[in-house]
This record gives sequence, structure tokens and C-alpha cells, in this order.
Amino acid sequence: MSVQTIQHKKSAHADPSILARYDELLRACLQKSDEDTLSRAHQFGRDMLDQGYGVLDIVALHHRAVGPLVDPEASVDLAMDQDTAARVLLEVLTPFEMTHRGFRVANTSLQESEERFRELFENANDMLFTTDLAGRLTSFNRAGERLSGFSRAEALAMDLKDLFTEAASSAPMVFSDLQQRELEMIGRDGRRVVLEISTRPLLADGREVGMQGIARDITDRRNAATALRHLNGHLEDKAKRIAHALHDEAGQLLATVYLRVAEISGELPALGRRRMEELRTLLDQVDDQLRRLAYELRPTILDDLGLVPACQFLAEGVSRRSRVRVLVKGTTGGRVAPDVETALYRIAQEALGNVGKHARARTATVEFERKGKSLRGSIRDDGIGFDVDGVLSRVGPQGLGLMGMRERVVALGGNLTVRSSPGKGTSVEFDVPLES
Amino acid sequence: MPAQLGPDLVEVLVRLAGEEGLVEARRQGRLLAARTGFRETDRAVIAAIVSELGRNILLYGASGEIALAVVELGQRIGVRIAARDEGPGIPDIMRAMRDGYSSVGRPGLGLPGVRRLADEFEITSAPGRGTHVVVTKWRS
Repeated sequence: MSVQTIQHKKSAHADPSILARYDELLRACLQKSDEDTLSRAHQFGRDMLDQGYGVLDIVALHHRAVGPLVDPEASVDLAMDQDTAARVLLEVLTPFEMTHRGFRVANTSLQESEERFRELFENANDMLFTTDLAGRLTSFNRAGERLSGFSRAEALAMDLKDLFTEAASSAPMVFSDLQQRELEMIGRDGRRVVLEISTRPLLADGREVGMQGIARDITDRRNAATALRHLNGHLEDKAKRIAHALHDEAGQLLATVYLRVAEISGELPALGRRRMEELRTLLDQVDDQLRRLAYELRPTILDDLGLVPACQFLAEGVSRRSRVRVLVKGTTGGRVAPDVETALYRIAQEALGNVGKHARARTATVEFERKGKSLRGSIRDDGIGFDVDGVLSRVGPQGLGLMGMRERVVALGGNLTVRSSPGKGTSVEFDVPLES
Repeated sequence: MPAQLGPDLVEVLVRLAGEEGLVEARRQGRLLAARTGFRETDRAVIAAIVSELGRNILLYGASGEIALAVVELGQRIGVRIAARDEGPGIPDIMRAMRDGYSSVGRPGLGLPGVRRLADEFEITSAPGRGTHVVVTKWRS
């Protein structure tokens, strides 16, 4: 037997036998209010509940039963009994609490959590939305209004795809869990906003009823990355031009000086010729320096032969100067975009420079691996390592070097991780997308 | 592991073998609640919890005991009620905790009802091992 099947809507105060029972109970309590009578009151309430009566029935019953007792002609002294009558009513009603309180608490907490959710939804900085299975927007928060320029009412009459450029909206909108995509949204005023968007199915009772999603404005982030990439390109151009000037123009001048020195040498007596020889040695050093400087500014081998040969050349130089054995492994799978080659070369240069200066390593390895549409790699050493967070939190040349490496990779839409701890060597790992 | 009442915490222990024990347990519960500073309505709630737990013992376990204690946790103070019986135990607790379930033909208001009235509720039972219910009601 369940509570639901119990006959309902009986009128308790109209049922003489129930009224009589309550009246008797009340009188018993008024005469002797102890746990025994209170226990009977509890049992009475429980029986009423079992029989399908409600709280209002009990209150009406109480009113009917107490009425005659309030009569001044009544035999019971009522001065002390208002409290007792109330206590009886409380006792009779308590079993009803057992069925109601839970619902009341559950309802309150449900309401609270709904309110909290609504608040979070509304005040989120990111655009939050849901759609039905057909892709029509079914909810849209304030950030969505701000980013798109569409009011909620307008948005709720649209498909999610309507918000995006044609190229973006031709892609499937439901992405697998946790997968992120960058899509370009066209605002109401035609303004374009780059969103990083992730969605997942919206479930109700285990069935898919639509989609929920979150989108973040990454226009600024993207613009900053583009600006940085342009800046890097610009600096590389400058470096290339200076390298040219050093190598070609200064080199030409130097060549002329060599010729002149040779001519003059021939006309001089032995002593003067020896002095001229010393001058030639100095000139050799200048020539050497100029070449190295030009090369460091812009290694022609990078433009001519590509990243791996350039890194090999770099590695030989480092090995010679610092006695760290440097190996270059792997392949880039053919030439890749010039800005990627430049960035990764600069990173290898910076990292190997650090190895030579600080690491006290025996060996270092530069490695490249082509993985689908991305180029991954690392520069590792077996040196003394360092505290990465410590260096990054200090503003100093070393920290700037690490940040510079990261910025170069981020500007290309990739990732760079520096791992090191004292005594454990250092690794710089990067992952750069190749298509653009 | 259910939160058992340690022996030093037991303030009152009432053996239950019939209606009289039940009324005594209610009286002790109400008294302890009053001493702990519960309002009248919550004293009635504590008496109701004791009633339902006691009734459960009498219905299913035939005999058992109810232990009552004052508990303190940080700033909070409350009453803890533990009911133990040596009855057949409940084979399916999840089912027993659903509204409307009873194996002896009465609406199973008891345990689900107690859970609603209480702030904390723990039950352990297994066939042949009796049933232990520990309930805490904090003073608001």
C-alpha cells in the first residue's frame, strides 16, 4: 500500500468519530500533559497522515475541538492550557513534517541553485548559449549580447550558425567534448569577432536535446599575436639588411683595405713589412668578427638550406666554443614557412646560447619532428638546470630570453614549455602549427 | 563506517521491548533536546524522530535500544540519536529508504520520514545482522 492510493479529501472536522478522538486526546493532555499523552498525539497525527488527511484538516479539527473548551462555562481551567493545546497541535502536526519538510528543503535548495546558476550564466564574461537539436538558440547570456550586438530576443529567433561567417558556419557546430575551435562571428553591426568556442551535447533525462556552448572573445589575443608576428618579421628584415651591410659592404671595404695593405707591404723594407703583417693579423680578426656578426644576425644558411642544416651549423659553432657536444636530430619534413624557420632557429640559438653560458652540460640535443600539420621539437641538455619559475619571475636577461622564446612560438599559434629543475638538466619543448 | 556513539558520549540508553520503552525514549529525547537548548518545535521533531526509530525497532526488530547524546562540533551543538536492533536486518536499504515502502504492510513513513527531519542520517543493515541508524539534529 502506498500513500498515494489512500483516499483523500475527507473532511476530518466533519467526521464525528475523528472529532471525538481528538477531543478525547486534547482533554487527556489538558489533564495530564506527559510524554505518554504527547506520544498518543504523535500517533494520532501519524494515523491522520496515513489516512490521507492534510495539515489544513488538522487545523480545522483543532479549531472545532478547542472551541467548546474556550467556553467560560467549560469545566476545564483554561488559564494554563492554551500552551498545552498548542503543544498537542504541534505534536499532531509533526508527522506531517516528515513528508513535507524534505520537499520544502529540496525545493528551496533547487530554487537557490537555479538562481545561482542564472546569476553565473548572466554575469559570465564569456558568451554562454544553448540550442535545440535544430541549432536554434534557446538561451543567450549578457556577454553574448555584448559580443554579438544582438539582443537576447533577436538571438533567440536565430540559428547559432547565423552568428558566424559563412566559412565558419559551414563547419559542424557540435564538436566532440573539450575540443575547441576558433570561429569568426559577425556582429549585428558587421564587426568581426574571433571566438574560441567549445560545445557539448545538452542532455535531459539522458536524451540529447540540444547543445550547450561557451565562447570567448580572443580577438585581442589574436591581434596581439599577429602584431607580434609582424614585429618579429620586421626585426628579421632589419637584421637581414644589417647583416647584408656588414657582410657585403663592410666586407667589400675590408677587401679593399687588404689589397692596399698588400700593395704598401711590397714597397716597404723588412721592418715595415713585419709591422704590416701584424696589421694583417688584426684585419683577419676584424674580418672574422664581421662574418660572425653578420651570420648571427641572419644566417644565410637558414634562408638557403633550411632549419635543420642551419641548426647543425649553429651546433658546430657552440660545440667549438663551449665544449658542449651538441647533436641535431630529426627532420622538419621539408622546408616550412620562413617565419616558422626563423622563429625556431632563434629559439635554438637562444637555448643553445644558454646551454653554453649557464648549463655546464656535457651534451645537448636539438630535435625536430614533423607530426601531421605541426612541427614539434626540443632542445635538451644534461646540465645543472635551474629554477624556471624563479627565473621567469625575476626581470633579467635570462627571464627575458625565456619569455622571448615563448612569445615567438605563441605568435605562430604554438606552445612552448621550458622544463628544468636544479640538477636535472633543462628541456625546451615546442609545438608549432604549420598551416596558416 | 557509521558514526557510532562512543561509550563516553552516551547520555541516555533506553532498552526497547514495547510501547512503554518507546514513550520513555521519547521523553528522554525531548528532555535532552530541552537541556541542549532546542526550541519547542524542534523538541517535538526530536521526539518524532525517536518515535519513528523506536517504532521501526518494535515493528521489525522486536527489541533493541535507543541511545541519545549531546554532540558538539566546532560552533555547533546538537543531539545524536542511535537506534540499534537485533532483528532480521534490512535486505535492501535503498528500497527501504524509498517512500511508501514497508515490508509489514504499513506505509514506510518511518525511515524516509526520519531522514527528512534529521540533518544527518546514517544507516547500516544486513540480513541477520540487525539494523543501526544514527541520526543527528543540529540546534539552529
